[in-house]
Amino acid sequence: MNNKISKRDWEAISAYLDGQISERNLARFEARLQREPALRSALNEMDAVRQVLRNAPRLRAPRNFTLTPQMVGQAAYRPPRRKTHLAPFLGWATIAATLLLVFVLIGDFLIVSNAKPVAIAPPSDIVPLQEVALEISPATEAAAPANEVESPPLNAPAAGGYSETQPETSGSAAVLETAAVPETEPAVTAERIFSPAVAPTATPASPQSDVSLSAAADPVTGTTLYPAESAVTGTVALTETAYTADVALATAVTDVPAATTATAAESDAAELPAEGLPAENTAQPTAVLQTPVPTSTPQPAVSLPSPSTSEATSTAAASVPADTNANLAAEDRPGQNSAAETAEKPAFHLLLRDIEIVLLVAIAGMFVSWLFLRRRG
Amino acid sequence: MQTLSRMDEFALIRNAQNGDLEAFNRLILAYQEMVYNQAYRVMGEADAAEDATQEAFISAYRKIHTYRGGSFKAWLLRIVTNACYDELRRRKRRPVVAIEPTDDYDNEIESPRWMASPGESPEDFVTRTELSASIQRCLNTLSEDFRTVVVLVDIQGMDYAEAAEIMGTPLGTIKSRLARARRGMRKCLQNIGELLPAAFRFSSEVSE
Repeated sequence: MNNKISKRDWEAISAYLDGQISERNLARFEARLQREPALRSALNEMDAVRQVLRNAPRLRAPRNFTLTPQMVGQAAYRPPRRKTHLAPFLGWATIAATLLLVFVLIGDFLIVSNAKPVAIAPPSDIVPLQEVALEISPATEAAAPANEVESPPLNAPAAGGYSETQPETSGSAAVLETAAVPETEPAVTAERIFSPAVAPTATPASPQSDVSLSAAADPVTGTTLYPAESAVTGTVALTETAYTADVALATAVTDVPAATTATAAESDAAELPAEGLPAENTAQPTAVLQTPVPTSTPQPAVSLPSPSTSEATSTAAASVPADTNANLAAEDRPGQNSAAETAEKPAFHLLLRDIEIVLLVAIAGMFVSWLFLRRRG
Repeated sequence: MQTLSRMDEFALIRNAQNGDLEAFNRLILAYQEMVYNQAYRVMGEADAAEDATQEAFISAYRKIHTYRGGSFKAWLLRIVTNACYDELRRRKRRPVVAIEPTDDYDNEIESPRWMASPGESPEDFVTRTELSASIQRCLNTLSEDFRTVVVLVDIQGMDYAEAAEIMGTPLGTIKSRLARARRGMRKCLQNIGELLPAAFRFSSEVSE
């Protein structure tokens, strides 16, 4: 009997014991095992070795091998950082804010180059109450002299009051004021812009007549104009746009001061076009109406969604549809066009510059935070 | 030895990857016996095994972020195998004198202090100690690579693929090395047959 077991056979035995022999060789190997007792013996011996090894007593660890911070060069354990999804959000917010800045810059450029201003929605998360004085002279010479439209702060016990406007320029100029209105929510800071709307005339009757006015789409700028109640009552439309951090949904709160001094017009407010009054529709300065307007109506603003940081920092944006409105109104009156524009441009330009600065600061802040978070994560 | 559920193990690894040393220490407590056994069987000496085990855990903690799932045991075995090779190289350069007592064959006697199991009869204890010492004696006759592969497969229960991954060698190499290592063990165990507990004695009927 040949007891010689080749190296190859030992390998086959070893693999066979571990179930690692190939399908093709398995049948042949098993047939050989049947025929060759020496192979069978070798198999048994190797299996015995395997069993010995598999039954090798496990040794106990002589001690614990736990690590100390010093052993791994770790100063001290810091609790794991909370996983946030802030970094990607900040990244996108930075991009969005940058795009917005580009928009504003384009708008700014257009204004400077004598183009029509467009609605702008600047985000500002740190801007306190900002006062913007706009001076427009939308009225005609025939209109009631000194249609002064005031918007005193209704529920503004503090926060700056409202600013005084520039003196009236040419006779019948509607002076627009921006009043600082206290924040209604802590998370909301807002810029507000008063829209001159259709200042020269006012509703002689009830304030309810404004319901007949609907938002008119501006064919030039493509923005939706909301004459709102204030347009009817001859005051300015105050839009306060707030963005919440989560949804970036712009909602505008029209905060119209209650007391509105207006000149009464014979024409009914319902018949008033939103874009402005024709010059013939001049009113006799007859009555001064005290028109309390119930407001604080949330209203979608014509503005670009503004990105904001997620730390509940609300950015506020103000839309200025009414300015466009005023512009149109001014345009409707030949002869007043250039005067109105020249008066409006610098103020608007200043506003845009403020917006640009705010945007730049916001972008820089978000970008740095984004970089920091990325490095930390 | 502590045992961890899969969920616990996963959570601990995640925490350790976030720098939680305490979480990693819990993993160490669960795996230190396995790692120490591997180190001891490969190194053949308690002192060196301790050093290799400690080094392996330090290395594992530093590399914990490279763990990408799969068998954590296999991942640790790869690290301790490398630590053993490093330690063996280091000891070859600077041989150290064992301070623990060794037997006639210059093999260290496994310390009964931590060998004893609770509730074990003295006879069983002796049997177990003798068997363990005999196995180690024979393992020490093999070269490092053969020793490592046979310990991985036959003592740690790794399959060929895992052993190939741990040792960084092709599957075929594992296959042939394992066969040679088992043959070497067979020869050695037959030679010291009388030292083996009766249940494990066997005689050879085949020649090579």
